[in-house]
Amino acid sequence: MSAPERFERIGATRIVADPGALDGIEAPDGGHLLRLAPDDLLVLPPPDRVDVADPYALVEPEAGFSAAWFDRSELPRLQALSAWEFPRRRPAPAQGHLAGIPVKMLFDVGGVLVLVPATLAHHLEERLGSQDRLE
Amino acid sequence: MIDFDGTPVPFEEGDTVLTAVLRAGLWPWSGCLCAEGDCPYCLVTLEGTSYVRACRTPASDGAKVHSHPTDGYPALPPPTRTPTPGSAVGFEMIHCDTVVIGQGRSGRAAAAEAGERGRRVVTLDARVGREAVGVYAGPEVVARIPDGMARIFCEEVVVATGSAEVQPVCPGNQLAGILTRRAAARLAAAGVDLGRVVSIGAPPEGVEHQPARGRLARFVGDGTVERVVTLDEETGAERTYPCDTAVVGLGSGPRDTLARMAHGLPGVRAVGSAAGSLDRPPVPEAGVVCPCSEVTVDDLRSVWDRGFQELELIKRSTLAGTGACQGAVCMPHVRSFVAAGGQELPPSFTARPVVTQITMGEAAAGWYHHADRRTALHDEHLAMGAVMERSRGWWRPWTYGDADREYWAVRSGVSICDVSTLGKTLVSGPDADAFLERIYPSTIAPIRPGRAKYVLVLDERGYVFDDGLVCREAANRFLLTSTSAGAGHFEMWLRDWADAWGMDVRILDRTTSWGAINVTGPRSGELLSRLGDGGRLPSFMGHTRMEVAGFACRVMRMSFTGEISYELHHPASRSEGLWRALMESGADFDVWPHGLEVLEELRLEKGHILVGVDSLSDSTPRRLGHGWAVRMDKGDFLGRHAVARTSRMDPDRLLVGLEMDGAPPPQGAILRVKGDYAGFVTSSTWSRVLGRSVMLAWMYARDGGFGGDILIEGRPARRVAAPFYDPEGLRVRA
Repeated sequence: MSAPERFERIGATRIVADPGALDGIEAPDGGHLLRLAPDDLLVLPPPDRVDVADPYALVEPEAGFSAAWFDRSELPRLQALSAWEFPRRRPAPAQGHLAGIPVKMLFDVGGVLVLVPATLAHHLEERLGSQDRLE
Repeated sequence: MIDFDGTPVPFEEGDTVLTAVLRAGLWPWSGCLCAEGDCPYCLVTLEGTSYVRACRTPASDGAKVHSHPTDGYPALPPPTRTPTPGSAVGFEMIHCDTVVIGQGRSGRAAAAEAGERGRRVVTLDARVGREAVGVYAGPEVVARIPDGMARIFCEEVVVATGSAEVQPVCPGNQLAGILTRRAAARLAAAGVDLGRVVSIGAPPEGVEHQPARGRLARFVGDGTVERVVTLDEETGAERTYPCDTAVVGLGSGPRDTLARMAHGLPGVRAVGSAAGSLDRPPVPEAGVVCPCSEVTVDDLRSVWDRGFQELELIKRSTLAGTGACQGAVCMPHVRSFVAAGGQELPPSFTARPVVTQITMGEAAAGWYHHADRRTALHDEHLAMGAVMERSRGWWRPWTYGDADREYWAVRSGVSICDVSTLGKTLVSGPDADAFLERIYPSTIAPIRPGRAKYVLVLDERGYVFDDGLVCREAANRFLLTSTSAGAGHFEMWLRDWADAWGMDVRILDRTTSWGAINVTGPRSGELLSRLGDGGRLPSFMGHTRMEVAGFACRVMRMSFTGEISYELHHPASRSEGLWRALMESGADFDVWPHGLEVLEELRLEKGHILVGVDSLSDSTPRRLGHGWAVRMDKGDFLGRHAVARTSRMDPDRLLVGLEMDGAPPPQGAILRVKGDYAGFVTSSTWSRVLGRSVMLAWMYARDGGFGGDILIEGRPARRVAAPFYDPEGLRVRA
C-alpha cells in the first residue's frame, strides 16, 4: 500500500438533538451525513446554515476529527487491520476500530473516507504504516 | 545442511528437521515419536526459539537447531531492551464465512462442500504452516500463518483435525527408538533406516517388521530401546524381542483439542476422526503417563488415594495434561485410569487456548501499545523544547526546560498552559436543570447564566471519583468540565444516568473538539484585554464568549494555579494560532508557558486536590475536607444516601495539609505518630514562594482523633490548613 495521505483535521458540524429532528436533516450538496447515534449527527462539510426542529438541539462546529481518503485499492489492507467486516453496499457509513483506534468510515464507490479523533490521528497514521518510528 | 547441536545434517527437499536428523542416524529424542505434532518429544530450539516441533519444521539450509536439555528447560533467549525494527511478527485479520481446520480427507470434503454452498472458505493445515492455535467465541480462529499470525472471523468453523495415535505407557516408554505406527510408515517412506523393527499392536504399513505377540509389558534398553517385552495374557509368560526400533499401534483417539476448546460455541463443529471416539487403552500399570509434567502411574495412584478421584482434580493435583502437548499423550491413559476406579470413562478435560506453543511475539501480534492522545498543540510544545510526558491518557508538556522561569511567570507575570485535556461536555434540554441536580451534590439552580460552580462528582456509594465545574450558559444549557482522566468516559456516564432516569436532555462531549489554554498570572487580564474584542472579561467564577486575537472563545475565569486565570476554550483547529498570538502579544510581559511539573507545585500550594492522586477509591467528600461541596438540604442526588449514612460516623481518616522544613518527602512517604503508622503523603512539593515543603496526606485517626506530633521520614511535619498560599483567595479574585 502506498503511504496514505497525512490525516488532516477537518471541519464539520455536530448536532445532538431529538432523533426525530435529526431525521429531517439533509446532506449538503456534495456532502455527507454520518449518524453517530440516534441523537447524534455529523454533517460534512459544515453547512452554512442548518435548521433543527428541536429548540434544545446542540449544534456545534466540530473540530475534533482528522480525515484521510483511501482509494478502493487500499481497502484490503485496511480490512486486514479491522476485526469487523466492512460493509459491501455503497455508499455506506460505518464505525468501529481500525488498528485498535476508533474510527468512523464513509464508504463510497471509489474508496473510503476515514475519520479519526484528531487526538489519535498520529497513532493511526503510524499503525497504517505511513510513519516508520516508535513512539 | 542444517546445524543440529553442532553436527552438520544433510536434508532432502520436503524434509522436516525430524526426518533429516533421523535419516542422518541421529536419534536425540526420547519417548515415542508421533511425527504428527501431537507428542512433546521432538521439541527443539530453532534459531533461538524453543518449543518448536521438529516434525512440523521444514529443514532449511543453515538453520541452527538445538535439542532441548534432557533435564530442565531450554534457556530463555537473552533479553532485548530495544526492539529491532521490522522484528514484529506479521499480523492480519481475515473475514470469511467458513474456516476448515485440517485438510485431510474430511477437511477437504468439508471445504469443498462449503465452497459449493457459495461460502467464502479459509482452510488451515498445520502441515503446511497454517496452524490454528485457538478457537474463540464469534466464532473466531487464531492461527499461525506463513506471514505471522491471523485472527480469522467467520460464521462457522469445521474442525477436521483427524486423530492422534495412542502412546504407550509402560516401563521404558521414555527410551529413544520408539515410534507410533504412522510415524514409522512416514519415516520409512522418507528413507529413514529404522533397522530391526518390532511392532506391537497394529503393524505399520510399508515397514518391514517383526510382530510381537501378547500385551506390551515394557521396553528395555540403555537410553535407546534394545528389547520389547510382552506378556502372554493367558499364561503370564513373558516374551522378549530384540530390536533397533519399536513401533506401537495402540489405536487412536480424536485430535479434538480445538473442538473441545470451542465446546458449546455456536457455529463450531467437528467432523471425521476429530469427531470420533477414543480407542480406550488398557489401564496403565507402570511408567510415565505424562512426560511433560513427569507424572507416573504411581503419582496417579497417590493422588487417587488422597481423594482426587475426578479427571479435573487429577489434572490439577498432578499437572498431568498441562504441559507442552496439552494432554495428547496422557489423556487417554488418565481417562482409563479413572474409569478403572469404578467410574464411567470420563470425557476429556477442558481445553483452553493455545493448543500449541507460540512465542511472545506471536502472542503480541496485532496488539498495540496504549494510544495516548495528543492535543492540537503537541507540535507547538515540541517546537518550544518541551519535555513531553504521558499523563492520564494524554501526552502533555512536563516542562519547557526552565521550571523556575515557568513558576515565576505564573506567580509574578503571565503564563499560558495547554489544558485542552480537560473534559468538556455540553448539556441542554428541558430536564437539564433537574438532571444536573440529581447528578451533582451541589445546588445547580442558583447558578445564573454566565456563572460557574465547583462541583464534586460522586458515585452511588458517595465516593468522589471526579470533580469539575458547572457553567450555566443559558436557562436550559450548561457546560460541564471534568478532569483530564475522567474526560474519556464522562459523557457515557452522563448518558447512562439520563437514560436510567428518563431525562429529556441532549449531551455532547467537546473534549477533543475544543482546545483550551489557561492564561494565568497577575498580568493575565492585561494580556487578554490587549487581545480581546473589547468585551468585558468575566469576574471570578464567571464565563462569557468573546473573541481573543480574532478567535472565538469561551472565556472562563477560575483558578487552579492560585493566580488570576482565564481558560480560553476554542475550536481545536485554532489552538496553534491562539497559542502563538498569546506568546507574541505577551512578549513584553515575558509570557512563558508552564508544564505539568510546575502546575503540580502551583495547585498544591493552593491546596487543590487532584482526584485520583490525592483521593482514594473510597474517599468521601468529608474525608477529603470537601464537605462544603455537598448540600444535604437539596433533593436527591447520586450518593446522597451513602453520604448521609457515613456522615453519622466519626471519620477514620482525613486528607490533611502538612508543611515541613527541608526537601519534600516523596509521594507515598509514611506518616508516623509516636512511632506508629499514621498515614501517607499523596502530593508534596517544595514551595518556591513559601520557602518550605507543603503536602497533602491521608492521616488516620488515633485514639479517636488526629492529634500528635507527626514525623515523616524521621523529620517533623506540622499540620496546617490548606490552602498554603493566599488562603484568603485575594489573588484569584483580584
